[in-house]
Amino acid sequence: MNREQLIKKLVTIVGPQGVVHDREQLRTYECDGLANYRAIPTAVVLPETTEQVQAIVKLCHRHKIPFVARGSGTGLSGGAMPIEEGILISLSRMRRILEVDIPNQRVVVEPGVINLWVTQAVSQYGYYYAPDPSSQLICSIGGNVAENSGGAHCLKYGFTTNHVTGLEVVLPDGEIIHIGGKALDTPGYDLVGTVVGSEGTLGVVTKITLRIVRKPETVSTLLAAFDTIEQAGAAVSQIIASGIVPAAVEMMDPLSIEAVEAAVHAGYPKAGAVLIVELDGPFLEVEDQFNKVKDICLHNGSTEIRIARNEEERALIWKGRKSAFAAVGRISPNFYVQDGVIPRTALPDVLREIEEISAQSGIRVANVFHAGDGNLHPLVLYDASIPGQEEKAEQVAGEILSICLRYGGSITGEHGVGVDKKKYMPKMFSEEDMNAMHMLRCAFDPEGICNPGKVFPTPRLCGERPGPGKIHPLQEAGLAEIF
Amino acid sequence: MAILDITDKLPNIEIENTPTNIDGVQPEYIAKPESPTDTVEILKYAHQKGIGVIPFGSGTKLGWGNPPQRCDLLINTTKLDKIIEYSPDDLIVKVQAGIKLEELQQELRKHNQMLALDPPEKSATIGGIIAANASGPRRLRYGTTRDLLIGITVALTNGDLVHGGGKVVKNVAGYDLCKLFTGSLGTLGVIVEAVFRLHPLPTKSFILKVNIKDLDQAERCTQQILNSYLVISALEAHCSSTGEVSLWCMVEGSSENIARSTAEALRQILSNYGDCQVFDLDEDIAVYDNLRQYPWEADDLGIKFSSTISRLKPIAMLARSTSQQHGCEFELRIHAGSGITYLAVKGGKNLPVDAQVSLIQSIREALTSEDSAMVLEASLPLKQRIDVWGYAGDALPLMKRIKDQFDPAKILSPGRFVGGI
Repeated sequence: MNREQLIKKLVTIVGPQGVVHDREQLRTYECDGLANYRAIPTAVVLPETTEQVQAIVKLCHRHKIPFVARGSGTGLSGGAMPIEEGILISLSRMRRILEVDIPNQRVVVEPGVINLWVTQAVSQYGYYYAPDPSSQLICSIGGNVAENSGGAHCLKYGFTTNHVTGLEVVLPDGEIIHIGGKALDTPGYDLVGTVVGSEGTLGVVTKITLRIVRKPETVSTLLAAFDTIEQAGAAVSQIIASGIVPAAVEMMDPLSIEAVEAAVHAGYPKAGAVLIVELDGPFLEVEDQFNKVKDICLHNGSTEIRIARNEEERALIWKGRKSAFAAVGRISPNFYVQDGVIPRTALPDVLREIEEISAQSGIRVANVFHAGDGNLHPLVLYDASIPGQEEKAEQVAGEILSICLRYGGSITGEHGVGVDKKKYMPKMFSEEDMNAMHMLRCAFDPEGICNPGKVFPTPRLCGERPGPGKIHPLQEAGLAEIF
Repeated sequence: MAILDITDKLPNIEIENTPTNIDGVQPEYIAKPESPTDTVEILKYAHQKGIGVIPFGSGTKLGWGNPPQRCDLLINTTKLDKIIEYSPDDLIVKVQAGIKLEELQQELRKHNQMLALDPPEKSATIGGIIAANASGPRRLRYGTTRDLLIGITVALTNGDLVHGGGKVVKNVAGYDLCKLFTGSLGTLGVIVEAVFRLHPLPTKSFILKVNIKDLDQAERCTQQILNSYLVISALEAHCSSTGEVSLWCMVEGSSENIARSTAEALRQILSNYGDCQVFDLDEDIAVYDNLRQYPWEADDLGIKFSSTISRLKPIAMLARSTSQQHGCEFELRIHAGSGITYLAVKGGKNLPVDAQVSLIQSIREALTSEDSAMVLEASLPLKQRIDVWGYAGDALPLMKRIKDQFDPAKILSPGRFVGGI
């Protein structure tokens, strides 16, 4: 089937308004939030119903055309980057909130629904949707499901995977399955848990049942300044060790503080490190624990503690933190957002090593992190107009991941592997581990047409199996090139 | 059966004859591997020879699932009982799968921490809890295995020892094998190691109990508690043929003050529904231990309903009417805040098998498509007539493809899982 025929078929499924094929318009979709990987797809199709998604996927399956599902395109690992010669399925027109079920603490949505809309829909009943990635104003629930998005508050409340109870999925052969539901512990394999975080490689999610949680009675937020990162890190460890589970613990280093101040004037003090601690829950509990947190910060040498007295002050503290990535654009023409995880206790050691790499390479690194769960977001700053700097920055970013792994951590805490980090997968997982993951993939997508080329470093074939877990002979011989 | 040469083939692994019988199927041998490598050797060998294998820990849930199609060899994990790594400051622990939950808790308690799982079976092993996705009352606050398991090592039939997840709580690298293996009942591989996130041990805990007039009131009270600002750890409803309905709430505090004030606020709500009793768990731990138990005994049929919070009353009414129709008494224990219900049909195993079958069928027919009824405690004749899982969804072909990928020779717990997987 040639391109014109394919577009004609897509138009019969979704109508002319639902297909983008003009080359200039296609450029809009050439990348997601990670702009240094780009590809222009054959066409972008914008379905409005599950049936349309199914028809598109069946068409792709019949003609072995690779496809990529995309939400708002805010992902930071290239997971929604299109495949050249493939179809991009944009789910942004499937944005209905289908059901709000307060007594059962569930909301059923379509994948294009924006994260924040869920909270807005249930706020009047005293509930909210807990996962809050920094992009929550624009990122979609479908994208959150694909990436298993986290956010600042997942220390206490968990990630997307802990808040999705049911899914409708169009499998890569066009079959529709309904897994999980409003109920928990449904019989069979935990396919919901398997699909969440699979980065769009196991199917296209068309309906999501979310768990919502009761709004806490009180939220208290403080900002504490320290002379050194070590002091701030010690305070975090002591808070956690005292049995307190804060809603959020965020840390920023001087470079990121400087950037944020230049950008949004959040009023952060000049300091060696800034810690944001938020507690939520019943009034008495928060009051009791908040005092402990203050004492711990002072005990660890905090030079200044600011307590948000009202919602505006709280919002200002968070505005600084949540705009940190964008703010860095003010102090550096280009930057790369890294996402690695370490055991929380390794924080001071890891930061020292990052500092050393930065000094050696001459590449500046600003550090912003979810300190409570050891999720680092080093911002690697560079100037692409200086020859060699981009490569050097990439090298620094890679070395940071190696450090994370050496301390027993992970190559990604919430941004996903996508195309960006697939080359690091073998550093974290053995060939056998990835082979098991590949077996899972073959059960879902034997043709390898669903978001191919993502997550795993080497494409493999399913199909005729020479034995469990064997690499396909064609691939072994270096002949398989399916993507 | 060529199985005899297994002892020659695997000389360093303890292999004995076994009297253990699983739903009428008599395996010949039991192997007790002492390391993950041993385990994977056994599995690889079993795969090559087509030997049917069932892995288990303490055996508390060996009766779960459909009768196996075959089983030649049991793999017992109880010698894999080490704590591999415990990092209190990071609130994580890595253990071998055969360690008993209670033994692990004892170690964690030394650092004022806990693994927030409280299934009924106190002697259960970690591996068994993961494989069966067992949970208890405190799931309301802490979630279940899927929420706490952050890393896993499994032995596969292809001879690979495979890791998923990691040692950090926040991690999205690769597919989530932890979720895949949670609740997979030994059908995809043998779980040999697990990494969990931990929680601080509460300083003080109370259980409050109120006898409630009827199910309507229980439902109202449940919603009132769930819609309050109170953070509670468990919310259980009990009801039985006697007509008594009671609600049990558990509160835990990081300090004595917090626990007391929460308990007091809760007492005020509960007192609107009846006389409220307060148990201090430092003095009355038995109250909590009792709350963890399934409602059934040896002669009873035991059914687990997976449903929603608001279906508390309809499910309870269904349990009542079906039990009465069959001349049986019943007892219900409901995780009222989670929509999970356990039903014991008293003496149900002694009913004629046709009656048992019709009892299960009539329950399943009365459910909505959102609900399911899994038979956990049943007589063998009943299990030979029904699928105990009662899965009626559209993902069975996919589940079978997953099974086929991980266990193409179908040697692992064959037939025990949904739809005969």
